[in-house]
Amino acid sequence: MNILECKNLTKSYKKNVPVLSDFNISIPAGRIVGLLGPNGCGKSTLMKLISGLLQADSGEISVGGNPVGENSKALISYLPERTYFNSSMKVNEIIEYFETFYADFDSQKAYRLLADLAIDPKANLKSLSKGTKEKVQLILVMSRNAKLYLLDEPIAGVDPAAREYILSTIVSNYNPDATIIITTHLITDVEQVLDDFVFLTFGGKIILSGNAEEARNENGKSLDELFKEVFRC
Amino acid sequence: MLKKLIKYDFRAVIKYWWIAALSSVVLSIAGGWCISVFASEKELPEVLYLVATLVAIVAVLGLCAFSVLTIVFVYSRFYKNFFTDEGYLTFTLPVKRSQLLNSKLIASMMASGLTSLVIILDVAIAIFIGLNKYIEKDFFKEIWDELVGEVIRETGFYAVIYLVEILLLVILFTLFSTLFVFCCITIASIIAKKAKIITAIGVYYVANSVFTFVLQMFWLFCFDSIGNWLYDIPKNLTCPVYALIMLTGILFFGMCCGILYSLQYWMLDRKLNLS
Repeated sequence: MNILECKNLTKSYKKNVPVLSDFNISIPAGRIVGLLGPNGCGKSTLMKLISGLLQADSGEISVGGNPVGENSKALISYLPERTYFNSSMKVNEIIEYFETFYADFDSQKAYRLLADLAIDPKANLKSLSKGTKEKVQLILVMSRNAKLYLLDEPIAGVDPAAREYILSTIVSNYNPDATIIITTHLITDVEQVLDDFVFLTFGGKIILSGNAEEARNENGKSLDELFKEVFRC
Repeated sequence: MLKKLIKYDFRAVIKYWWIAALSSVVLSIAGGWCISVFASEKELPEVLYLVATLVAIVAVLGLCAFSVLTIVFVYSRFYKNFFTDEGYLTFTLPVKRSQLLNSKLIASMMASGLTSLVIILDVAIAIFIGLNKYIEKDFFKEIWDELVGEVIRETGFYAVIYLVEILLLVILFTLFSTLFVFCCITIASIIAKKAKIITAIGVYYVANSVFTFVLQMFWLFCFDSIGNWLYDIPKNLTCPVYALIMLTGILFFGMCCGILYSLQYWMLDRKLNLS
């Protein structure tokens, strides 16, 4: 069964300049999918549309058989590019907040992951560094037993050690029956964890997609090399 | 889910509000002392009058600041929660958009109601402390009998209708004012890339000017005829006519609230674009 289906999806911010145009994709459950493409190709817009932050101009999105709305949002765990905390809250208060609104949130897992990083649950969010806030956000997102994880540029702008931590947290904490969609242009770092990949170009056109392992074997190249070949300027 | 949202919204608004509320109570006690100085029959030193005047000014300004602070807490919560990066969490919660909006409205109405109660309490404290010596045993009972008893004697059963209508008008007017500002903030957040708060103030100023102008025009053209019409009403019809006029006000503000709510919901649903 497909966890995500997008049919004829179109979204423009300005008239006649579609970010996504007639976009179609079906993603089955239990996969880690890399949504790869250059900056501005519509990756984040697609994530926002699926998570319900934006409304499509036309087309349909279905998450676990639900149109975008209250039910689909309950299935999605979304990690945006930005930190979205109310900085007047403490770490344990934001954990309580997640526990209140998400039935699938595992607070014990969250506290365990915080302890691994020696983050004080009683710390004020505004006292944390940007990097620590991002880690707390990742912990919250991965502490849900969601059906679909949307991770928008989770490793952009962080140092290599943090990248490693982020990727290992993602891989070792997600619900195995769930699907993860990761958008990034840092392909080398995520390549090893991907089951499938989608190369997206401007206008939201899919120019190449498939199984990551098969693509590597068929082309004798890594996804990163393949990406550079496809998107060569 | 609505209850949970209200709980968090109200908690966020009240987080610092209570400090302002407590300060206003302290100021009202100080204000009470000022009243007692001014009302004193004894000859007091000049400097005491000067200090009392200054304290009274601070107390009055403090009470005004308290109301303004409540407004700031409510609207900054709305803006931050919806239109800053916090919106990424708010709008991905598994709740309906209408519930998000309703919780903000209910929490702000609760905060406004609570603020009004605290201000009434502040004034009562100031009067009680200031005029304690002069208040006789049945003072409040007499005042109540004079004011309320008079209205009931004059209007009979219509007093109850007036009370309900006034309450409804106050609630609807507060709701209308809140929605009006919410809409201005939302419009500014949609149209402006930067300086959204300044844009929101600009949008509010323009929208408020237009609304006030339309209302003033209405009064200008209708006041005379309505006034004459009211003057000619037979005495036995005065009560139902006043009740009807207030009902018209209720319907007017109800309609305005409906329009603003629909506009606000539509903007959140269709036009929201977090950067």
